[in-house]
Amino acid sequence: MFISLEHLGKDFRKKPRALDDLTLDLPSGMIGLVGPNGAGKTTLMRILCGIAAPTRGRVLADGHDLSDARTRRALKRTLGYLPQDIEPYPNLTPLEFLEYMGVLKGMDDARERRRQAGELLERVGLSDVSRRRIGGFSGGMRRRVGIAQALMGDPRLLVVDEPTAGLDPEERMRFRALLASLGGERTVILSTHILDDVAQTCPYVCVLRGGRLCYDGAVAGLVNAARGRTWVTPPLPAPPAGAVVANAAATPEGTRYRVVADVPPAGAQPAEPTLEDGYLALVAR
Amino acid sequence: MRFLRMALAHARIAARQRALWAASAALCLLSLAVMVNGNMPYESGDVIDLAFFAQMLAMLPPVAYAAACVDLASSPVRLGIGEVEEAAPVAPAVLAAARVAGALAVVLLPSLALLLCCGFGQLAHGNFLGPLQALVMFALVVAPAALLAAAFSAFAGAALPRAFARFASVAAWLAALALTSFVGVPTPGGGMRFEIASDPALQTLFGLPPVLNENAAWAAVPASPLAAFASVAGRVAIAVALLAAAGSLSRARGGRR
Repeated sequence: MFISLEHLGKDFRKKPRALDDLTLDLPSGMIGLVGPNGAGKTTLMRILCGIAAPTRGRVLADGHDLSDARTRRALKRTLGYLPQDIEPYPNLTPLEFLEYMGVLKGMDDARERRRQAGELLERVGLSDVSRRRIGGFSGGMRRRVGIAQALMGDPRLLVVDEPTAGLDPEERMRFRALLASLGGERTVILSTHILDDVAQTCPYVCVLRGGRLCYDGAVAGLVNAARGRTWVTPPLPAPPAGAVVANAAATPEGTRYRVVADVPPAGAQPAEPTLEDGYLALVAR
Repeated sequence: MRFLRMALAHARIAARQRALWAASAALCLLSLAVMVNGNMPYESGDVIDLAFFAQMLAMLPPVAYAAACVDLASSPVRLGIGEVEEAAPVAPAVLAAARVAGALAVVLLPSLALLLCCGFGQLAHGNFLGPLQALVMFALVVAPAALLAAAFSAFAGAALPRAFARFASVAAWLAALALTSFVGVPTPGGGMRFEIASDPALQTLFGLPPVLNENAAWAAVPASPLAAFASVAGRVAIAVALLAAAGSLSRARGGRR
């Protein structure tokens, strides 16, 4: 699916502008959406899912304007959405919940719904608890039910908001592997604060700050934003002034800081930049 | 078909809330106990007894629905599942209707079962229309009352914290009953006594006296068919408006979080 945003803006009453003149073409495949808190990521995703309407501008999905109700309905038929905070109905089993989501997504064939629900539960590693009520599940298991519901109906557009937040490292790796396998012909928009998740799964990344687009393009391009500006200091008692600290490692002599700065702090050595450095170089400017 | 499947899923969710069942069934039995005066409501074979029972079912068990349905509109937003449901190709009004229909189908089951039992009992005692009359009473009186009580509850649940909402919706239901179902009857000593006024639809269709106490029935004017229609339509309209407001309020509160 090809999604195009044209001069998109969104205002909320008595709040800073959530999105400001956002123009962007989203290709198919995995797309990372990153930015600090309040950058407008969730608002953008809610607009893409047809839940919220933009104040200005328009969204085109395969060339069709989402302001038209019929287009929005058609998009929703091919959409999978995993919001940040979701607790599936605790009184249902995962199987029943996925079947319910299948019904909502317009899957009329009961046998196909059941087959797909079973297959997805297997994929997210919940097939052995498919008949236990969700209310007794751990946070990670509920999150897996969440991603399974987003995949019901084999969506062409998948929007996932902070899918790995609050998961333990093992769950996170499992999730990341699952997400990486989803790209291909679909468009997957992954919003996250965990840049490592983006580095590992997304070839394309968009950076938002204050509702505006800071960067969109290949992950390697974002890394390059910090090339020649990433340094590792010798052990210091305090972070160097005027530099953005990307990391700090305690040593017996003091703390060794990894910083992003135009001018190297005294005694600092250049370092190979990572996605995190590139992001900080862009956002902390 | 799709609506039925959605309603079925929500009926399943409601059916697994044991407190809901227990409270609903207990109040249905209380309704039966209130009206049993030596005889069961079907033993006379008189439709008025059945109508009296329907009126009790429309007044007492809704207290349980008023206390229990506070999550009806707010739980999807609270759980975050409302966002996912909004991203599905289903009109919000259809989904809300399926949610309410599913929940009510479950909580109304004890009332329907008891009313139908009495209807069949009347059949055995010579009233051949008993089961059909029971169904009509259920559809026109018992179900709209339950819908209204659930709507009070859903609105209170959307506007107030849950614990307060339960008290507020039960209080609202009791206040609505006091305003609409009680009639003042003058006493010979010059005072006033309050009696239960019967439902206009039950009066019009089944000849229930305007005041349930036979000795005081002279004190009120029988309802007209128009009043009966207005009573049913009014309850449904108020309930739909309250449910719509509850949905909007829940979404607005969810959006602010």
